[in-house]
Amino acid sequence: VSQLPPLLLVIAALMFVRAPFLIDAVRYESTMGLVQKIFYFHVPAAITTFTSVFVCGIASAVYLVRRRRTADHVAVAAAELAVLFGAIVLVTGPLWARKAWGVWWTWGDARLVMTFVMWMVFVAYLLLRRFGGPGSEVLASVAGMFGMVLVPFVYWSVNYWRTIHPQTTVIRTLPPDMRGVLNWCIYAFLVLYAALLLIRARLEASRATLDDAFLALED
Amino acid sequence: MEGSDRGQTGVGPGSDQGQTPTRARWPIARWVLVLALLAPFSFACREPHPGIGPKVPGFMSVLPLEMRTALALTATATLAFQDKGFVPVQPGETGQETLPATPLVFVAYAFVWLALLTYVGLLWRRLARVERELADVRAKLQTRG
Repeated sequence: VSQLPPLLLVIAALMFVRAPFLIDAVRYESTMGLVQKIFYFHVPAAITTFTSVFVCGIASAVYLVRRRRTADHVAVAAAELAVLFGAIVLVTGPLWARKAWGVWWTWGDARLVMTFVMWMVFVAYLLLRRFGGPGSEVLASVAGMFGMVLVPFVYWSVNYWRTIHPQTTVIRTLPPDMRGVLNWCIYAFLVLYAALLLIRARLEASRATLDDAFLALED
Repeated sequence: MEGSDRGQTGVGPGSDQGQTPTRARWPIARWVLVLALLAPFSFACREPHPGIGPKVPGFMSVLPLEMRTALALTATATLAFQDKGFVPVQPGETGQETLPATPLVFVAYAFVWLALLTYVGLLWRRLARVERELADVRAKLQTRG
């Protein structure tokens, strides 16, 4: 098991090295041109964020019900990765929007605002774990579950509210060449995510063991 | 389903079922488009000097020029996009760029690479530090028996 994260990291690295060549080779989109190529990292980052939020929410629920420390470690790891990949989404999105919509950000768009709110929930989760003191893991778990509940609202916000963000059906209607490159990038992000999740969860487990060892040393 | 989505006119990519709420909102969207497109013209008709020339219609005078233009561009781009979805450029067709896209794409990809590499580096350092401390504490525990 300890060999798995480095192996996944190597696979992800190879996929990430190949990705720019594939993205460069794929055709331009007719109305947006070059800037639409941000899409090939923006969407996979968003999918990875959603995945991480779900992992955090489910692990938090398991921790709340069964009080398993492993579930808590996974939840912390997933929350941190949700913030990382969420930050990528929130930075690449406005860079694309500046060219496609003429604005960096609009507070009137449901998708943008809800994504930001969901990201803030996981920033709050991490702050709670960092400064909340003993017992904060229970409160953080509730926050993690709350964050997970937001995902469907974020995902379908483009279909149910008036918004300038592309709808979810854009992915389904992609031509095969664009779809192939997008899939490659999605797999690259997910493999990287799996590796980082395992490593980060291991870090959390090591920290817990260290705390126990310090307590044993004091006794 | 994928084939039927493409090429439809007047219906957004998400409204292939025909009876979805998206389709029900279209009349409102068209009114927004009409108003938005009229907004910049209202500015053109605005009096250049107080008391001279035609007056601006009531609600239009409230909006600054930037807001009207942004509204018009946004509405036009949104409706045009929702009609077609992502359409690849045809061979021989060249797009006309008004704002250079290269720096934006470069910054986006650079940020992704930088963020991921920085995180992996920091994670490795944190893990190494904790495992080193753990080894120290274990060694102390063993010496104490």
